[in-house]
Amino acid sequence: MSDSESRDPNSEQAISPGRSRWSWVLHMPLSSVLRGEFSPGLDVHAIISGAGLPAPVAALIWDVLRRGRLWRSERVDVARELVAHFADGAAAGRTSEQLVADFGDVKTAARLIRQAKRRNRPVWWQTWHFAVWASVWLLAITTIGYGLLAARFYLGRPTIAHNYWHEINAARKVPEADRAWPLYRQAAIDMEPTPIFDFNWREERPGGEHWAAIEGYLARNRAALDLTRTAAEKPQLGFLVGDPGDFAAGSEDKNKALGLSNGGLTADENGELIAMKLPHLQVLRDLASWLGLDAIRAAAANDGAAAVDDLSALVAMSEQTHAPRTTLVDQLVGLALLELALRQTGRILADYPQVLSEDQIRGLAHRLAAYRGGDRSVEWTAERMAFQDFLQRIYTDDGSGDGRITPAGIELFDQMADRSTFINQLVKAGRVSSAAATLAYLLEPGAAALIGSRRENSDFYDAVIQAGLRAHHGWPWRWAPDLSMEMIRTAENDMRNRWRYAPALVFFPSVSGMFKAVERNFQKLDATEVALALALWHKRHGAWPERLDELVPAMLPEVPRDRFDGQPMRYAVRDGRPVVYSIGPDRDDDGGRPLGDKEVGMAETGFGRLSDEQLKHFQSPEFDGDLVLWPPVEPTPEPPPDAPAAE
Amino acid sequence: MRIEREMMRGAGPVAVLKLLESGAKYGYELVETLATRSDGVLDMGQSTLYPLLYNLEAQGLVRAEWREEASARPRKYYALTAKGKKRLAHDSLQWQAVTRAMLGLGVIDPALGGAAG
Repeated sequence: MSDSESRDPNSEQAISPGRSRWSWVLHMPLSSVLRGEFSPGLDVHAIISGAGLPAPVAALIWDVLRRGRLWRSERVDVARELVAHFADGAAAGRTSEQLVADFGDVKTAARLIRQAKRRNRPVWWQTWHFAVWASVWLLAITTIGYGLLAARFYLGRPTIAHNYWHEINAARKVPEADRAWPLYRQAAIDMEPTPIFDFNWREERPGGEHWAAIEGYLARNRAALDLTRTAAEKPQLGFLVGDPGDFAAGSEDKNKALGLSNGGLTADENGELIAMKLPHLQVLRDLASWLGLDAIRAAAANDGAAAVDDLSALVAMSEQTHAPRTTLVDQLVGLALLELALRQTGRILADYPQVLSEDQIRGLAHRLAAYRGGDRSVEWTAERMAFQDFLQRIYTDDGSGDGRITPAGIELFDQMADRSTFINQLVKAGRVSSAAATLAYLLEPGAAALIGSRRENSDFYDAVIQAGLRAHHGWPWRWAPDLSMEMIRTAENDMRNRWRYAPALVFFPSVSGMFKAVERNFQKLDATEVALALALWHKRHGAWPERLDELVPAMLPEVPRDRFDGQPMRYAVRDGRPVVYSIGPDRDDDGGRPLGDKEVGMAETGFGRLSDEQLKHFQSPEFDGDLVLWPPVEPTPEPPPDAPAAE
Repeated sequence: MRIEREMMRGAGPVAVLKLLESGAKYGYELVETLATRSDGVLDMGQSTLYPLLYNLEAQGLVRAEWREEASARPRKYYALTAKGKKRLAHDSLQWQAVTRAMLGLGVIDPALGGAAG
């Protein structure tokens, strides 16, 4: 047998005895070298070719070794054993054909030998091998699992089952003759565009530098203001969301200042409810501001009847905003309109004490009492609708109130949330970089899996709002701790829950803030009623009472409570002038000494149960003073920038 | 007669262990002995024998050793270990029980059953 006959062309050609001294060195077993024996023991080629086996048999051995993928020492061992085996067979008289046939299938032999030899390998190798295969399997299973997750995610589509715009409008539907909004809208269109004054025109008063400009505007727009007062007499506001009538009316608004046709969606289009336009709020605020100024103008002109008409209209406008399915923004604007009515009433009583007759004072008192007696509860239905609308746009719908987040939902959520989450950043980066887009595409299903289900978020939202509502039940000095804030804080501080409740967390309004706004304005309402009673008392007695309870019951049903501590509202006569006040958030009676202008806004948020930290904040020197409710404390004018500092 | 692979998988190891009970043997010797003493029934094929031996070695049932005797080529001898002897005893009992059961069922000809008792 020649050397070439026994060599497998695909394998051990590089290992050839005598080819080079390096080859000898390379194939020496380390154990032999350590024993001082220098022989090419690991040279398989030498073993096979040196055995003088027939070529088919040698080729078979090579084939087994090549297919076996063994370690070098294993190859040598198997080669030696097979060489011995076939040599024994040949010695027993077997031909090479018989030897090859008796051996059986080479592939099977190679596979079985490989498996068996691996079982003989050291523990460290077995462990490593297991770890590698376990990792490969784990990776494969994870990949398949993630693929299925991704497919499930990317196949998810939201189902827009509700048109909340229609549901809101259905609740607000009133006969056309009872709707105030079309009249307000027309009045706003008819009015000259509000000039761009370089002063705070809403707070301008007779004698002021710019009062003439205000009077001029009021005179030129008398018809529109008459229409505004007519609208205020209507029983309902009747503003419909996404009303095409507003868009049509917007075309009459030559200056486009009202925003009536400013790209809004109609209710039939059923766009995102959160994107609905509320142009009526700015219209009402502007009209109310002019009515408030007109009330002052009338009082200055000794026209008590006109002033009362304006003030009553303002109260009515505030009532009208509390429509069915009203949003929190509507309600806050409504409270602002009430506050304007109360502020102007207080100013007229203080600055023009003779202008209102007893009947007019009583009429105003009754008007405020009627306001108090109406439904003034905080309305959350529309807020919940907005959240449910959001959910239906980001989740699938399984028909029973549950569903999973969708790609469209992630996109919308990203637009809504404006949060600096990793996936938000990726989505944003993906819009400009294809690599980031690909990464976002790969990671989105995983990130989406962390976001809680539709039901989880819906339940969490309801639980938080209910906790907030429960906390603000009854008088503010009896409010329970607001667990809603704690629930939100806890969720935001926990990584898992921050993802799980991410959709709900972007939607929470401040329950506490809303109730504090109500209390702030109702405390002013209380004080205005007291001021009206004091004005009546003064007309009859020519002096101020020593105590408020002297007004009860002839002029006041009862002395209202100070909403910071539940005690009777505070009253003092200082320098011959009455002061109606609340002790304020420091819970300390300072005899009616007013807080500074800048502290009043913050102080008015101090209702309810305060934490030790909050109480400490409000008991700092800057909040040392009282909230004077009547007569109004007018803001201190800002000194001109170049005025010399006071000595 | 050649037996089915599954049956051979059970019979092969115990047959090899049994052959090694009488002393260490090398591969070709085992092939020849198996074929001769089992009338070719347990002629498992050499491609199967060597992996079988390596597996027995991995399980610690046999011990392999290269011997280079005078006037003979180097051969790898396999010998039973203590563990292998225990396994052989255990497996032999199992096979005897199976054989008795098969005899009782008539699967095995009673005329051949004497050895099983």
